[in-house]
Amino acid sequence: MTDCYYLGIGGTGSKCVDSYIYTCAAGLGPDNLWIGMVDQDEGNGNVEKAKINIENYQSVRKLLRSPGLNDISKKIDIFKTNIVTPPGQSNWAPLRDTGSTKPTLKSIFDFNALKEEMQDVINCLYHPEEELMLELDEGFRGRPSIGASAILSRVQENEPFWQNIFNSIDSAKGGKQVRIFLVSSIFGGTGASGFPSIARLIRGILDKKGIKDGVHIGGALLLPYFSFPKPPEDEIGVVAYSESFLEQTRGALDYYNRLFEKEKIKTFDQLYLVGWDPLIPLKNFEKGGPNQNNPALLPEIFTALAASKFYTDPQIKDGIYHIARNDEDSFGWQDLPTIDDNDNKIVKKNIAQFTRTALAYREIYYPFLTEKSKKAKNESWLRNTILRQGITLNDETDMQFTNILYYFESFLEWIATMVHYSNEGIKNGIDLVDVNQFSQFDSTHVENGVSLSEKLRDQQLKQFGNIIADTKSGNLTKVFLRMNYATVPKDRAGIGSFIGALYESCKL
Amino acid sequence: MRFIKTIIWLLLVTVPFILFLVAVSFFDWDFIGQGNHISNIIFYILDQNPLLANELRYQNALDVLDFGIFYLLIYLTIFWLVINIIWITIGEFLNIDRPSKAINYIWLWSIFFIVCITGTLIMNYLILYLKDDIWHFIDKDVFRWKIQIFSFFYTAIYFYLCSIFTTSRVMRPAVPLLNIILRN
Repeated sequence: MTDCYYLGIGGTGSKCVDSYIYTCAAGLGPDNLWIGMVDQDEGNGNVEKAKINIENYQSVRKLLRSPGLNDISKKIDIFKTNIVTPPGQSNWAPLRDTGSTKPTLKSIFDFNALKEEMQDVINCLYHPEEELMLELDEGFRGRPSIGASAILSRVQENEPFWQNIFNSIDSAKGGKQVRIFLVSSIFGGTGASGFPSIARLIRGILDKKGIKDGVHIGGALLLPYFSFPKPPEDEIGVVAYSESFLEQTRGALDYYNRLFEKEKIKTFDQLYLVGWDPLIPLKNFEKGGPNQNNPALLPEIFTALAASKFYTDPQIKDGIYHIARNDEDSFGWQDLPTIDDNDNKIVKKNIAQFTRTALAYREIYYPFLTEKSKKAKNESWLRNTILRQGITLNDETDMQFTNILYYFESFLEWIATMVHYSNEGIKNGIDLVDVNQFSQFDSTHVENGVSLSEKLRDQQLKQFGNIIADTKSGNLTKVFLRMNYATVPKDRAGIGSFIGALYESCKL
Repeated sequence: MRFIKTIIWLLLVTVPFILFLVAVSFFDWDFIGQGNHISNIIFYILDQNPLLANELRYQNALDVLDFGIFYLLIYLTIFWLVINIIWITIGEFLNIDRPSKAINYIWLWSIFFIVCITGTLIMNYLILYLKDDIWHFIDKDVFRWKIQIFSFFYTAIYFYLCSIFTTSRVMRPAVPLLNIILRN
């Protein structure tokens, strides 16, 4: 079995982590995965969201994949990825707060204790006021040069966060396959600095330990894909702003070009570059902290699919990968890359089926598993998939079903956010999932303008068969019919029997 | 596939019910009533007019069989199959897309139930009681109290059995007690 590692670096990296977890929930991830983030801005809304998502995923997975107790079966892909990241260890901030003092580059270098000539060198490299004294508790503010120094000075093998990766690298000596995938933006601060630094660091360790085979490093770099309004005048200079992104990207690409030309051993076995033209306009800007909670955007799913392909490819072929839309003015399922050369529809099939399952669960079945269960207790679907599986509907199961509901809702919100916001950058819109059927978008809203509809009207529910673009799939009547005739295979148990039946009933 | 299975079940229930009637009416089963079917008709169904010669009674019984019961059984078979197929088909088009919705159609099943029974009774009346050739052979009381009451219960049992075996699982709540009888 391959040990898979996914590392999102910086704010964009955290968003990609969030998207990757949903991709795993839809059954497109590897069997086992350690997932983590590197972000100095620990309280950042994006990091927080991804952290919560990891924990929610793990708790829902436990409900659906605890062999013998609750099992959805190995034949079903959803939640198949076992995310092994220990709770509370999903994010690593290179510079921890030391009491009341906020970390600065000056404190990292222990500037005052350095010899005078070294201080001069540092002063040449970094602006003495703007950069050396910049408080770094909320990230590196679009300054890769600061981030690189901070990250490289803090990555240590005995850090619990890094221990997993380094231990796994050691196990590669015994013939184990290890695949490490890094994701970040090429612009900005933490990501742009951490991405090459961490990759080179790992490669250096491999070289030092004499490991030539078994460990593969992949990565996805996001070129500028969104823009946001210029920050207030007083903050320009110490925060990232989108007009500087292209400039920074150019510099960074030049750096990578030189890096790849010179290197004797390739840093990346596979590198994916993802961009978006025109940039997706966002109306909100936050320099960091809990309010920096950017909406999910479509390009991020490309990094998720890149990672899945990297993990599942039987052989890692070298290369720098890129993909383009078929049509400049529209976006459809055919524009999403496949992750399996033998099944080029797997991405659409899994995401669509999971979306349908989430929606059917939320709108139709959840109430009858909880407060309205008495009304349906004699119906075939409930009897076969719940009662006969030894489940007694009570407060405990109510809680379990509610946890699943919350996860499905967060998935629906994620996909709706992604489509609504990314729509702004495509003339004819995005033709993946008709998210208008179950969500509303208020573009004037400062934070997340997407909300799920409270309760769908009958007219909206009638459109259930049409929510997946390019596909006429079974409506809710068909789903209910399939649910009533669902057979529960022997390898399913507990709540997994019901969710498995619903997932199969929601197939396209 | 499911529809084909349903039709097979429908035939499996209908055929024995009709065959039983055919057997009682046309076959000589010496353990039933008077020992043979003609005697049974003469004894149990025909008007017991003491002035009527035996040959004539025999001929009347044959007429009741050939012009009455024979056609009645054909029409009944068709009617029963048609009414069940309509029930099955309508059930497919009611768009039952969520739990607890089918029970709202209990009235519809009741209508089919009533129509099936009423239709059978009307058919009995038209064919055995109104038909020119045979109506005057049949005892009025026998028709009213034996044939019609037997038909009522026989049809009710038949239709309920058909509902058990042919109603889709989605529509089961619309059939009274069915979800309690069938536990799958």
